[in-house]
Amino acid sequence: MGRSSLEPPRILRALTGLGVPRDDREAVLADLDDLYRRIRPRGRLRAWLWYARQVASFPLTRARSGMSDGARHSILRALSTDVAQDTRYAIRGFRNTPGLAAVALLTLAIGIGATVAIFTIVNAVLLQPLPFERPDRLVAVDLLAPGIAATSLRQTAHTYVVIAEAESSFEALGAWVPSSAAVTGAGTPERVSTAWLTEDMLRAFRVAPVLGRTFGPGDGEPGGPRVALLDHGFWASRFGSDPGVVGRTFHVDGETTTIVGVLPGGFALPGHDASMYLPMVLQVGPTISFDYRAVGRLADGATIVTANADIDRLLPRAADRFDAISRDDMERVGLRSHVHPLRDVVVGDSGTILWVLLGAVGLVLLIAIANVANLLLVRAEDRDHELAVRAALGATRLRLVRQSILESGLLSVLGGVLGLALAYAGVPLLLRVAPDTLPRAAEIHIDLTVGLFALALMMAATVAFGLVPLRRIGRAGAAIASGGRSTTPKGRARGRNVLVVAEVSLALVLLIGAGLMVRTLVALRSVDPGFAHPGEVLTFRLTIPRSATSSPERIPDAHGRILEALATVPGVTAVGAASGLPLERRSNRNTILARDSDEEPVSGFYKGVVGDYFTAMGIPLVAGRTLTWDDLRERRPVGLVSEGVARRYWGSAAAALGRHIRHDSRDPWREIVGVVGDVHDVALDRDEPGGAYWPIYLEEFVGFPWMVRRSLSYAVHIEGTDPLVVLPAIRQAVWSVDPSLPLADVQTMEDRLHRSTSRTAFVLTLLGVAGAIALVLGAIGTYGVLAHAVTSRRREIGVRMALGAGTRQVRWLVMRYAGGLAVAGVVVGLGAALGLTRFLASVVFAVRVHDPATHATAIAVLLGAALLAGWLPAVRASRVDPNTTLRSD
Amino acid sequence: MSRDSLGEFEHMVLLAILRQGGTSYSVPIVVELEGRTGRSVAPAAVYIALRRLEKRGLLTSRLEDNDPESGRPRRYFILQDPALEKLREARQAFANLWDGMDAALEAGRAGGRS
Repeated sequence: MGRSSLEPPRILRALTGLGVPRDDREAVLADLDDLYRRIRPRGRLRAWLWYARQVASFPLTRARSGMSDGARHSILRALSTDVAQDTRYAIRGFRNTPGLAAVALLTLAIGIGATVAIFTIVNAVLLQPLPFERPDRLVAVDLLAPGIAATSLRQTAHTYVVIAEAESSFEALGAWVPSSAAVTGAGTPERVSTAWLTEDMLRAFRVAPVLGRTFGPGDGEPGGPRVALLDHGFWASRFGSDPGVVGRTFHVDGETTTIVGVLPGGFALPGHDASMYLPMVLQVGPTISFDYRAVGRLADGATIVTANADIDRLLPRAADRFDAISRDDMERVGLRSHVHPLRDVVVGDSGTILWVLLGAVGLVLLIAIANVANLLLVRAEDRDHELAVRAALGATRLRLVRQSILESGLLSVLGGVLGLALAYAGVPLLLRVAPDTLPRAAEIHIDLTVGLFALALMMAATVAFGLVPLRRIGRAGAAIASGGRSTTPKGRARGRNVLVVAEVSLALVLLIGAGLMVRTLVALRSVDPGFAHPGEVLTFRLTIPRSATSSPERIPDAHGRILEALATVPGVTAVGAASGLPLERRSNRNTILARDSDEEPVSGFYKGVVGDYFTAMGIPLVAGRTLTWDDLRERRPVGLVSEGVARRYWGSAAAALGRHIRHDSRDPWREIVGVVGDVHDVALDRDEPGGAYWPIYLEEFVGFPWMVRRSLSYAVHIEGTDPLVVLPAIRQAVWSVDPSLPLADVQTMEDRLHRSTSRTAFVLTLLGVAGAIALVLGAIGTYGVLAHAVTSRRREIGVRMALGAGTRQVRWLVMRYAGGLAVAGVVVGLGAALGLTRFLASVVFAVRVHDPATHATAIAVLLGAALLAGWLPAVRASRVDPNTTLRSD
Repeated sequence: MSRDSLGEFEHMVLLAILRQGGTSYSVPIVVELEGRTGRSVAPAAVYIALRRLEKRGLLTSRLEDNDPESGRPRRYFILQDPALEKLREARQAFANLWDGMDAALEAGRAGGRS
């Protein structure tokens, strides 16, 4: 849902709204939008500037119209004299030192811009309430099973039914299951994400359709008419926002489905953007599967604690009522309730990362402020004389203070506005490098909260800078007494030194953080994923619709025909398919029970595979053979395990051949006919136990009478050309079998690998940029202090040289100063890093947060930069001509 | 002129509404004024003038929550009889003042600075 560029910037719109009375706000903003659209074709900048003027225009015009002429004149007169004069004076001051003003502005803009940009993301993802009514009352109703180390499990139909029937703690309770479906009969065939909802799910979210009705009793019953609710965006993109869409029919997975309603814009299930919602009636079957995401709205007076207690009391009833669950099983795994805020589910583990990044850019802002304060301090010293003269000519202390605040305020506001512009341009760039898993990404934009945050930063900066020269104003009188020459060089040098030491220490923290992320990324990239040639493997998801074949026994043949067609495409060397690919996060997991092993059962993935899957993926066959078409057709009770499982149970791959495994005590034992290499199935940075591979059609499987895979992820190995070049031919091959089949989620395995490291890459990019900025700012700060020290100590240097000090001694003097500052910064920075880097513990991999090598490298880089920054002033100091300096005094 | 006479800008705003058939909202008024005077006009000034004229009983307004044309909220202002009266008065006052001044104006131009 991108905003068209014909809309004015939201931040300006929000700020303008503040100046308009509430009753009129909407109408005025709508009118301004109209006017903006008229001006926009004449250029974006022009339109922005026009809109920016409106921000001030409303409050000013209102104030003016409410004032008497006399009041207006006296205010104007006051403004035109003192403040205007001071402002002009401040601007002239910055004009006289354009280099300093530019450096200060740019430094501040970068600091504020980076902080505001990250804050924009933090604000939308972590701070803004979820887009539902009373979101604080919404909870995820999950389960815990510490006995099988499950940190959070979803509900099974059995547990859900007993909780929903009691419904004691909840005003409303619903469940949903994410899914996807092929849509045909309304434009081009397309695979879209969907969600199955129980009747009460929308009631718990308090969402009502904008068109039509919501789900009711009877919807979703087996054999009944199929109905669907449309997502607002899907309604717009697929049906052109047709107001008469209710009652229309189209095909969902080949079945005729009637549209009964459209949900409002902005509604999305937590972490799942569905295009379409289908009604679900829970089927309490003979097997347990923790698939149902239950969401409840707490009843008045209920809390998370009482809800958990209620459900814990209810759970045993599920065992009493249903054969699929036994009280023994429940006790063995320690099954209990886990009601927690829905927000936690939505935000996931992004919270830590975002706070770390906000902290990182906050450090950059501190460095920037320290740097600018330093510049102003130097400038203030140069202006001691000027201040003294103004004081002598009758300027009051108040006037001088106001002048100083005005200057720093001007700098902060200009820097802040520039920073806001940087953030406005930077947020879309950030989102481009952000991982796909970043929640609520669609809600990220600069809003009023962000604007106020930026304003607060500007005010903080104003105070920080304003205080620095203020201290000097007090001494203005003293300076006069001493004949106008500056005094007490020691105290002021100390102030600058402290600022530089602070900058260096903060820069070190950021460099260490960036270094740790580099190490992590390198480590992740060097992890062997378990599959080969990822750049040559094209993958996509295909589902055999019910309309193509309703008989489950025929589904393997349907996949077989597609595999055959794909094999004929030029360049294709091997084709196979599996119910889930490595890193696709689609695999089922279950315990793998071994018939003749004393080892504790492992919990691992299980997948259905067909065709030349292992060859196509480049997963090696370690022992035995792979699965064949004959295994599938003759329903042989055979399967494969990964090397990890084989070693764990029987010590070696070869020893596993001929052994037997199963997932469930009701299943028959199945023979292991082959062992394949281990893969990283969930993530590269995890040690995984491995898993089992089965034919795509099985009888008596995990409690079901039969199990077949309609949806499979296809893997096509292509040699000699870019897989994406072959993609059209691949599509044609699929369509030659069935022209209504859409290919979903098309990407190479290389893409999947990259995506799995995208979170690390994101953190690295941001910390790297922050570290680089900090390094440059720290070096500039060091240079500034040394350059100024050399200038103000010219006399001393001149005397030393006259007394026989050589070039080398003078340079050493300056470099020692630089080194001293840097070492002090490093010591302080190491202490800070010790405390701060532990926040990175959740994102680093294969490196400890206190890794000595990373620390040493960061220190070396920083010292190098500091010495480099000291070198120029050192050379300048050594060129001091004692004759000139001494004569001038 | 009396204390409650029209200011120059208010005069212009009322004329703009009259040109648009006696009912209008801020956008066409801004566009009309800019087009006819060649000056840029602040929407805030127009809006505040409209509200002030409403307070003086020269205009009434109604808020369309969901304007059929734009689908967004929009406030329409409607010219009232006293406003027409004021405009007539103002035109008459100016006409009286201008009466017989054409020659003087021409002479002023020809004579240059005095």
